[in-house]
Amino acid sequence: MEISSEVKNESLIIKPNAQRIDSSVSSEFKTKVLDLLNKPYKILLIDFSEIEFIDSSALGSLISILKSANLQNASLAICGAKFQIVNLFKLTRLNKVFIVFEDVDEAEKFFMNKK
Amino acid sequence: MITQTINFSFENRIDLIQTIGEAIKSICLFVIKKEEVAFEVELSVIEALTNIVQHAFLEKKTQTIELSLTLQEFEIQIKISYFSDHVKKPVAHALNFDPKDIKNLPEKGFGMVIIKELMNEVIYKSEEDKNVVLLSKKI
Repeated sequence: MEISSEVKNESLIIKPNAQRIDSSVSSEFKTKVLDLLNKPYKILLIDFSEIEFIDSSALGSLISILKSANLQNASLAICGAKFQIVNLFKLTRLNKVFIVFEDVDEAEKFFMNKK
Repeated sequence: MITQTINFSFENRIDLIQTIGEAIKSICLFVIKKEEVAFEVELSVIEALTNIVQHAFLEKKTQTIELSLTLQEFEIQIKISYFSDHVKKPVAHALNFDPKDIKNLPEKGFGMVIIKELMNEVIYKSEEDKNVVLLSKKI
């Protein structure tokens, strides 16, 4: 799975260049994101705008990434998630764990105003 | 609508699950024309198959899984059959975690929760010498 990343100010923006994160790639996704968290970023934005499908293994990977970000005192947000994926967060109560934004711009504005 | 059943037979390989899931989604979408229902059926099938491949077969690589998809006017039924000595019925863990207690958030156990939420009926049983998972969803 290809992942692109961009550093903006104190934020790391990660975008999986794939349409699906399921059990065949979820652990690779987690490892690649965790490898990118080698510097103390304040904000980690995961851009899900290309993602059409995730399963429970992807949810597990996101939680693992959140735990690592939390250890670094970094905030994590999901951006651009499709309706079905947002629904999956609600179904599993993870909407109470992850902040979800319409897109990366909205997330950046939110964290900018929070400063 | 005429009842239609489509049968699949495939090896217990994790890399085949996506193909099966996408095929089922495409068929549901073509027949029922409801994107949300097709997504939910695909996700439930993928969760059930992942559980079987990862837990029921253990190291056996050549076992076959049979899946039948039945589309009726008001219901979709999926029957998954497989041989295995290692049957462990998955448990839907209660989602009673504290969202603020990040270090203790569960990383596993969401699969069965998802299936039970999205399907109207979920049955795990033995039939002759096979293990069977039945999923049904009203439409």
